[in-house]
Amino acid sequence: MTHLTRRTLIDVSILATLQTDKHLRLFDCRSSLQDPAAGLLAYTAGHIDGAQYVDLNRDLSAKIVPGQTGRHPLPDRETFAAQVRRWGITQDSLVVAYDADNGAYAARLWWMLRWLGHPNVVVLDGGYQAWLDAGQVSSTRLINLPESAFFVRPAITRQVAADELQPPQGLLLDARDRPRFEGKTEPIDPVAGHIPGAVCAPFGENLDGATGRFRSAADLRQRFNGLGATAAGDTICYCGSGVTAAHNILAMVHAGFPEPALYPGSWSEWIIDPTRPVTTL
Amino acid sequence: MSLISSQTGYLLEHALIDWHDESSPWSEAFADIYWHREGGLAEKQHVFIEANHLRERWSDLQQPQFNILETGFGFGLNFLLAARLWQELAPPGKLLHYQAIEYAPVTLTDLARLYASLCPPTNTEPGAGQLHDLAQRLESRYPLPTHGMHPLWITDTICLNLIYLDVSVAMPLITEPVDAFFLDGFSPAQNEAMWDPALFSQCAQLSHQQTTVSTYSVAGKVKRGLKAAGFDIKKIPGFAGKAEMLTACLSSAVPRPQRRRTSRVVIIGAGLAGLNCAAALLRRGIEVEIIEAQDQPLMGASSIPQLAVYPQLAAVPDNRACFSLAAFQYLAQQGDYHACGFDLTPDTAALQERLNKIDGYFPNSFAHLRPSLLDPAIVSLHFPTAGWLSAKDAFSATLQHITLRTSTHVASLQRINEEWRLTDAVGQCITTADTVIIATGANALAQTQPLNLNSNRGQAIQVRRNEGRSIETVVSGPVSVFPADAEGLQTVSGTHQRNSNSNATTSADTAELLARLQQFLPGEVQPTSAHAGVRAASRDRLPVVGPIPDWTVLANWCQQQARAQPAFTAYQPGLYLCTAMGSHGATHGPLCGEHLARLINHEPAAFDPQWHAFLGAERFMIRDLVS
Repeated sequence: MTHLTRRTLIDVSILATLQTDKHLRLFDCRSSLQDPAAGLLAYTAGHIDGAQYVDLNRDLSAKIVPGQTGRHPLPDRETFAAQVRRWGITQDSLVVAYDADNGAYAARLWWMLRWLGHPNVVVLDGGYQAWLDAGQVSSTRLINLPESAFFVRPAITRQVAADELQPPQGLLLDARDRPRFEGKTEPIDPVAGHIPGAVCAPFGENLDGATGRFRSAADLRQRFNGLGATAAGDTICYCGSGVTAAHNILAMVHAGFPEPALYPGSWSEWIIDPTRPVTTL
Repeated sequence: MSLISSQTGYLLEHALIDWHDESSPWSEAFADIYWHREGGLAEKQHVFIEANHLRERWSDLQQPQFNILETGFGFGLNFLLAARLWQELAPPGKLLHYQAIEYAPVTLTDLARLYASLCPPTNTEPGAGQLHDLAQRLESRYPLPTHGMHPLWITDTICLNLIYLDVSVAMPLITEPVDAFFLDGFSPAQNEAMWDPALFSQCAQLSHQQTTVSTYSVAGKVKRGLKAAGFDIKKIPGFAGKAEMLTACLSSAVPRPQRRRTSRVVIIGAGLAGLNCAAALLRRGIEVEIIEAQDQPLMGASSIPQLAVYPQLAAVPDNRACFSLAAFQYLAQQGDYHACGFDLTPDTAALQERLNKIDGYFPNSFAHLRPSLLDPAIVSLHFPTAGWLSAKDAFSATLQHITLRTSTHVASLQRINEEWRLTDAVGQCITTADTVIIATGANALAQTQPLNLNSNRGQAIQVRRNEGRSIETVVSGPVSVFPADAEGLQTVSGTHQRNSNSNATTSADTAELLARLQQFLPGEVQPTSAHAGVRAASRDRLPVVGPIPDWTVLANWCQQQARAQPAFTAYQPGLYLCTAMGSHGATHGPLCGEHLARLINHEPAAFDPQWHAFLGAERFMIRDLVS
């Protein structure tokens, strides 16, 4: 069994040495919010050998119920656990997730496995690009593992619902870009703005712009301290649909903060009820 | 000193089971059934899980670990039920230590037979899948029945310690407080010796005010014993209207001992010893910083690409052999190595004789004689479950999760303001820590000089064999040859120089290894790399692992040993040692690391605490000065 304490990120160099580890389960989470077919096409063209394809809409979200849910509602825990079994994950597995978009989709899988009580999951720092840049090869081999025994354990994650956010108890961080936060533009959702009391914390700022890798734990600590996070553990993260908020959660855990809570419905669910307040700047 | 001298063999006798039908095993020795088949698992759930209020206690568990002690492991059904509940409820990061005493373990065949009928994969009732999964995990880790302790990591957070000893021998070895006692085992009428008054007073000594005891037995002997030991007993209804059962808790208010939690440990040395300690500490969420003198981890002896994993046994089970076997079994249950098999080929008649004797102790699935792959005229001892590992692969994840400071030589270690200060050769402070493990080879630090360790040099080469007989298992004899690794390279080792401190490879050694390889496995080979390293070894060739004594106090203690005096207990606070692995760090390292992590984290022992007498740092001075 491979043991990790800082269960957040893994380097390409380490992943390369783990490739023959029988406990490794690797997942390609590449996806595009604009083009639902792009992830599978990219995976088919080439992926890290041993990786299974994960589809954000099919595998990491329940069906959207118009007028009730956000854009990526969480499936129920047992439904997701059944998928985890089909992926061949056992409680001994070390799960590594990667994508090509700065780790946001991989972070969603990271969060969801921790939600099922599986702590041994990490995101590949720098994603697929870092893998190729390091001179590692891609593969088109498809793998199919036998269904595993996996049982849900107490969640490591925390979550809150919309009615706990009026007003928010603690620091509320919005992972979307500043123009969307301010309500200047809204390319995806029908209403622009943010939840009253929220602080703008674009997830892209968790990364070093030059390398596409996560900033150091010390840098991230400074970033979130600057946004008002404390060791009290009362931070809540949201975004457009509960995907990129997981990126901020991962970054905060990596920086040594207590696990922040996720508001899984996020902005796209918040605005369904027209009585909920909205702030624009 | 030999604590194990009373043993006549390595293995205990298994329980003789008579199967009346697939779900009711009967013990021949005790003329008793293992449980009442009408009740089955539901009855066990009632008597042990519910009577100890585990659901309520685990839903809101504050303490970092929960310790259960069971007498009479039997088929492990109480364990499976407790483990299932723990998985359902326990908050992340907490540990369940389930210690179970058993002196007549059932065979794996019997265990599997019962599980096949009791928790088959086809059962779809709620919770049945979890039970089946746990049963499979236990089956795959089920140990050889050697005397002593078998810590088995069933999951990341559940450690089952099977203690294969008589209850009266095992109880004094339990050192950490117990939160719940499961007094199971055969009935007092059939197994009088187990339910001795001493058992109850030992339970009381390990108890605190939240400790609960439960047992199915309401025999007068049990009630009297518990009361006399200071327990308040309560009769409660048995399962489904059956006869009553007992629960008990201490009548006096003794708080659960509060132990200071260690959150960070500094380790000196990033070899096999240090990294095994690091891996065991990381499992517990303890932060680790390693200071390494060389510019990379796993240099020196640990840099040899393939390292042998096998137990070092003796013709009679002595301390060294029993330790080695326990360490091998500890590693084997985790299975993180290439279990391709290991052949020991004797090069002397005396060794041949020894291997023949060892063969007689063990089932063929663990060790058997067969013609040597090096020379078919010689009979070798084959260990099918042994093999090799690559230290680089084994510790790649561990290295990712520690703070590693390389090219940093620790020149001294001083106790200043209640903490240890590590300084370099010019007196600069490197770091400070409450808890430090010295896992360096030589006698570099003042704290380890009294050990007087030896440095033995060894060299290995890697070769590509282009022709000749292919080798699928590790073959060890006059030369050791490993099967091809992922790159198709094979390690060849077998040169040793005592008391040499040189890390440099020599062409003479390379030539010697190639010549020996040609002698046994002729064919064209191409050497690709050479690796030399110095391994620390102690005078008795056992590792040195445990707390570091206050050497001055120890010297005085030894002088006065002629007069009866209490056992030696003066250790330097927060200072531990893990070294002198010789060439067996791959096999012995994991258990040594686990042992230290448990000492540091106040957990139940990983092996018989009395083994400290032959593994602890004070043994050499005591032997020298007392005699």
